[in-house]
Amino acid sequence: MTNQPTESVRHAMPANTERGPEAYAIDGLTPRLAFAPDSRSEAAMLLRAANAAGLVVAPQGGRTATGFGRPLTEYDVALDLRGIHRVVEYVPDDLTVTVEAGITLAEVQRVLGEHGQYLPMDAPPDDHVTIGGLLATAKTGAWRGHLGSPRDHLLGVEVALPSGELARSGGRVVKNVTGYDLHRLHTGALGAFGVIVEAAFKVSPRPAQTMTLAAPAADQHEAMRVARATWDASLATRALTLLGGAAAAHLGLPARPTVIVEFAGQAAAVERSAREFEGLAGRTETPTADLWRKLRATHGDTATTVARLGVPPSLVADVVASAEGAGGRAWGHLAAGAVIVHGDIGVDALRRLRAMAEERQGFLQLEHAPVDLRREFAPAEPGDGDLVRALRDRFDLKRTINRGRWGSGL
Amino acid sequence: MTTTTLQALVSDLRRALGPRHVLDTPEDLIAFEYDATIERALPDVAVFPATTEEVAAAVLLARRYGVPVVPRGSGTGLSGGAVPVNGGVMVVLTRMNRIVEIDTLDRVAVVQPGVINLHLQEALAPHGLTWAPDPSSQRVCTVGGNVANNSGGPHTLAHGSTVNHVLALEVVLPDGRIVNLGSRVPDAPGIDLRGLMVGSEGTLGIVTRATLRLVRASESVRTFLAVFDSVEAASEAVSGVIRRGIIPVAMEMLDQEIIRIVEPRIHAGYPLDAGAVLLIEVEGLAEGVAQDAATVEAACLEAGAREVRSAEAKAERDALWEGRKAAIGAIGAAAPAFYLLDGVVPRTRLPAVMKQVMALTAEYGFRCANVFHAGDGNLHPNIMFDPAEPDAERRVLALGEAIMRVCVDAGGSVTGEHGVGLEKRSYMEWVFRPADLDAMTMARDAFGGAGFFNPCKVLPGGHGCATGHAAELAAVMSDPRVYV
Amino acid sequence: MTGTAFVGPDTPSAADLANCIHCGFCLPSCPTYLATGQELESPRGRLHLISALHSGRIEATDGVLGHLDQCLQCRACETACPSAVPYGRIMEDARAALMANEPSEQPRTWRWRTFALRHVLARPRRMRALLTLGRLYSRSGLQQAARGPLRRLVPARVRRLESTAPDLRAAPFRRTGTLASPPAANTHVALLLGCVAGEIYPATHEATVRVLDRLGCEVVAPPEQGCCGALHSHAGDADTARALARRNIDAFEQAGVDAVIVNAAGCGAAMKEYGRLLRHDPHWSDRAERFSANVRDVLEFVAARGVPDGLGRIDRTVTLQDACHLAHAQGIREAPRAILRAIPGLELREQVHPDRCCGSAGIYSLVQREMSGQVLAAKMAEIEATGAETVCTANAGCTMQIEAGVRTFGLGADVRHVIELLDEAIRAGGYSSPAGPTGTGPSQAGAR
Repeated sequence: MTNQPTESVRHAMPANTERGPEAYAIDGLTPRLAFAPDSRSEAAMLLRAANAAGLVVAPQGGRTATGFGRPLTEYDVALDLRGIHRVVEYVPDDLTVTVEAGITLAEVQRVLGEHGQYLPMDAPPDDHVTIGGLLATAKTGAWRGHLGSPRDHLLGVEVALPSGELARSGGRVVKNVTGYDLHRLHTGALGAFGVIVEAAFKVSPRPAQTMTLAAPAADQHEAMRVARATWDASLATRALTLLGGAAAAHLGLPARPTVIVEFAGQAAAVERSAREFEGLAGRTETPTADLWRKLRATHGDTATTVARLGVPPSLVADVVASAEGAGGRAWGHLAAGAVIVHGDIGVDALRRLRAMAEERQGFLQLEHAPVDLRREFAPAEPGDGDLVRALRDRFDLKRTINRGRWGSGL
Repeated sequence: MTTTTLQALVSDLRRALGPRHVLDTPEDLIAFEYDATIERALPDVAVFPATTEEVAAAVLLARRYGVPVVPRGSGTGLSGGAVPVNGGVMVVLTRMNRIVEIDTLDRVAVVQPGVINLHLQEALAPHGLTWAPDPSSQRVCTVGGNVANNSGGPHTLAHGSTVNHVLALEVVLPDGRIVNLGSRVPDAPGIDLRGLMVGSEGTLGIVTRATLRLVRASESVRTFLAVFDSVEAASEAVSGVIRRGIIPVAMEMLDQEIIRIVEPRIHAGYPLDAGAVLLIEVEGLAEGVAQDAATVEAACLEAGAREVRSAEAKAERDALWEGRKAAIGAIGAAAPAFYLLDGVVPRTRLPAVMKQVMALTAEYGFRCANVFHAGDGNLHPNIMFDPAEPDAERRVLALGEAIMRVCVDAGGSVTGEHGVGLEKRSYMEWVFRPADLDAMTMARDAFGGAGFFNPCKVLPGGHGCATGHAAELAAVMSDPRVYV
Repeated sequence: MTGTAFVGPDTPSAADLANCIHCGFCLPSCPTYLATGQELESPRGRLHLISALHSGRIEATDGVLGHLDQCLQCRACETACPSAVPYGRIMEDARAALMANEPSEQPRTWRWRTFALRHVLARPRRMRALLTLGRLYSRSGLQQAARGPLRRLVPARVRRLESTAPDLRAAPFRRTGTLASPPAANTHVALLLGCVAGEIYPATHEATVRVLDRLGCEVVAPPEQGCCGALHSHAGDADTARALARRNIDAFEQAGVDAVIVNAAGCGAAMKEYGRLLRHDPHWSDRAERFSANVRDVLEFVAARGVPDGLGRIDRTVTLQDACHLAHAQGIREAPRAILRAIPGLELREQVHPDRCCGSAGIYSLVQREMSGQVLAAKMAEIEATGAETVCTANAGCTMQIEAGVRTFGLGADVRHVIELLDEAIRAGGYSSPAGPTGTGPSQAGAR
């Protein structure tokens, strides 16, 4: 290929937004160009120029999830969104905030924290994920089953399209059914229909008090009994996670199946929840303060393979045990039916686990894995192929954004 | 469509669905020309499928004959969404009313689209479970309708709208294909076509089965009736509660006009001389509820509440809610006609917007009763009028449009829960830029239903669609009925 | 456009029709909508049809009449309606205004029904003759045999029809004049005997008289009274209904009583509406209004006066079937419950929907057999779920229908009017009427 296409992109962008491409390698591919635009319209300009030039763009923020989805097949231009990071609007009494996609979750939490509020999201590996990345991957953590997913808190987005247009859906009000909810389509789509450049959220008051307890169990059945009873008791729970023995050991706890729980809310409700949990579990311990932080970081580890299974809650303990039996560290967030498997487990074990989940109408998704593994073992299917292709044809006919992430031709 | 073509379509449909489940006489079809709005349009034929396959068969036949398909549940929509403006085949889903499965262990229910929301709640109650969406019409509206409109309700404030409680959908697409979107377990990887389908008002597909996420009923619930001298004071209390870090499950406001309409009929216990009342509900663990209750009470009193009553027993709470749930209908008995609006504004703009709404109503010479989801900033002004008065219709529509303008100018939106349907298509351009609408059009076109599945709904314009709200309304305004 | 299908003074008023805002809240309260899921069999759908007949958009085809005929006129939709649409009145008016057409324009299917109602129900002697035939059948043992040992020999169709027939072995209640005259009576009331109630359920009248006696009421039954006309009103035969109303007003006015007591909810509802029925008649409208204001359901009357003390124990589980024309038409729900709760030992087990119609609806169970059967089946499931030993009613038609349901579905329950249970409790408490049966006419107090 000649240099002409890259030159036309370079020409379209302000010179001060160009970066050295070396720092933007993904899946072993280094792009030819990299840009960090300062504004949403500049991001749209970049997409339009790349689209016109037939180049492939990979949008990115904190680069914590670059091993998500199928390996990129082509990669010409890096779109670094971290320069687009303003808080556009924050009205504490409305419990709404609108931010640009490149802002980190940490920065959003800092701003909201000044008013005793927060975004109830704990995507891995930590608060340095950008909002855009968090939405594009739809990653969630231990809070998901109790506080909802990013989709549930999202009020609207603005995306930059390969055509160079900026398109909005939803709005900034907490309840709204005006038009199609394209923002739900964009969440978790890895940019298939445009690059999210702005998002509006419903925020929550910070809980007055939180408390974390751990209950080590004799075996997985006992752990499941405690976890299940805790869930059924409808306590002031923010996180309820069943750790396999290996996962517990990894977190510095005794190597036994262990239920860890976080209660959050009014002080009296948290105290009563803790009492009931102690009653249900028999024996509890107060683990070190950074337990959840460590668990979240392990989930977001990019040095090994991380898979997420979705299974009926009643199957969580069995799947955790099977995954640890295959040599991984595994834990399950009961209410969401999400089991995270961490470690270098092989393709055969992944296939077995996927079959186990699919038998119960669940799924397995690779959230991070080496390129070779992701070539051999599809990280995830995009959904109904005909519909996804038809949508992609209309939003990004040339597959300018993240070509191949959802499989060949997508 | 010519008479012969229609006859051929009808006999094909009869073969596919059985003769009893296809209606085509004018006197039968007029019962399918309406929903709960003033919009009216006759379908060419109405079919009553019992299975997903029959829905698909009806869709394929309609496609072959080139006529539109419009799905319908209980016909309680408030935006004209189920009114077949271009005729065609109306697919009535009320026979598909089976609760297929209630999985208490994993908290999932699988239902057919014609299941009535309340019937589902009644089936769940013995298990201590509920499905969160609770529109005021829940005693009659169907789950399919809730999904199509992404219905809200008083408890949307804490629990979110329908989309937050739908795990998976079985859908018949415009090409007759039957697809499954989402999964029984939350957060299926891949593209969230489920999230796009919810709220698409029958323009993308017809839902034939829904897998729903259930939640456990709370241990403790307390409902407050806070009495204020003015809407402004009550609005201030709403912000005051939020500012104290509490999100109640519901915060509903009734203004003086509506209190005076509903109280004599329902006897909910709302003081007739109040300027406004707030219904506030908190739930959770008993200890948390007690603490929240004290905070709510303090916030109301600080905002000038003259009285805060609290109800914990179910019967007492039901009585307080009964007035709220029956309020809109009660206006029908109080005025010859009324026009119900559904706008959203940021919560903090409520006092200012309400003032503008009242000023506009007075300026246009009407009375307006307000009953709405204050916690969400979701307004429901009901403009009361007499269609016999000269020029009333035009002025009511103009007022409605002016109020919608106020909502949009305040940073809000033109529908919070009733849907765009027919009625608000022309307002879409106030909220969205051409590029935004183009993106929505691209999404719709990818499903292949443009001009075929529920044509002339949601998006403005479209082939063979009337140009605007006013033109459509004028056509039916000669009908001496009520204008909801 | 063919012009309105309605004729005459009973034409539904545009104002009544305009009250409907199409919200659909009535749909799930309607037994026929629940059975069919069909808008055309819902109150909203029927109102829309009536509006279209009114404006002349549609003609009164057999199809349209069929939808109007499917209506039970139970008026549960009125309870559900937030806009206070007077549905029962609109439906009666619509039927009357269709029947007011020239005979050649009248709905053909309605003519035989009108004929039967006019020439049998409104004629006590013919009615009695018919019922006497039935009584012979019951007493001969044939009925017991057809329901017992010979069951298999009876063709299924006939068996189904037969199973709905009441047991007529008891002697009818045909007394008139003074029925009770307790010492120091301070209230004078008159009792409506009705067209069939005394023939089929004499025990209800006996119990009513004894309870009123216990409450210190002198009870009379004017001999000139007749059928209340409710069924004629429901069927659209407003002229016959008006004639019957005038006769009853005359008869009861002469008795000069404080209240006219009715123990059949359907009759009571109709008599409370005589004022409206005769509103266009300058000679009668005021009298009719005054008369209606004096009509009381016996349960309403007893509850208002206070259930007497000294009730004996009845150890039994009961469920209450709200009569539609008591709960929905007259708005009386609490009175029967208050009475039942006052009886020691009695356990009231509520159905999920106690005020949902049983499918009897006057002559509906005869002319709309299939739908009536569906509605009854749903009702029997609710009754069975309560496990109650006795089903309490407040209307002879409901009693007959539920008795048939009990037989068809093999439930063990018996069916009794609420007043009979109160009477039983009074007697179990040791109270016996100082005066024996009085009044004129055949006096064969029959125990059921």
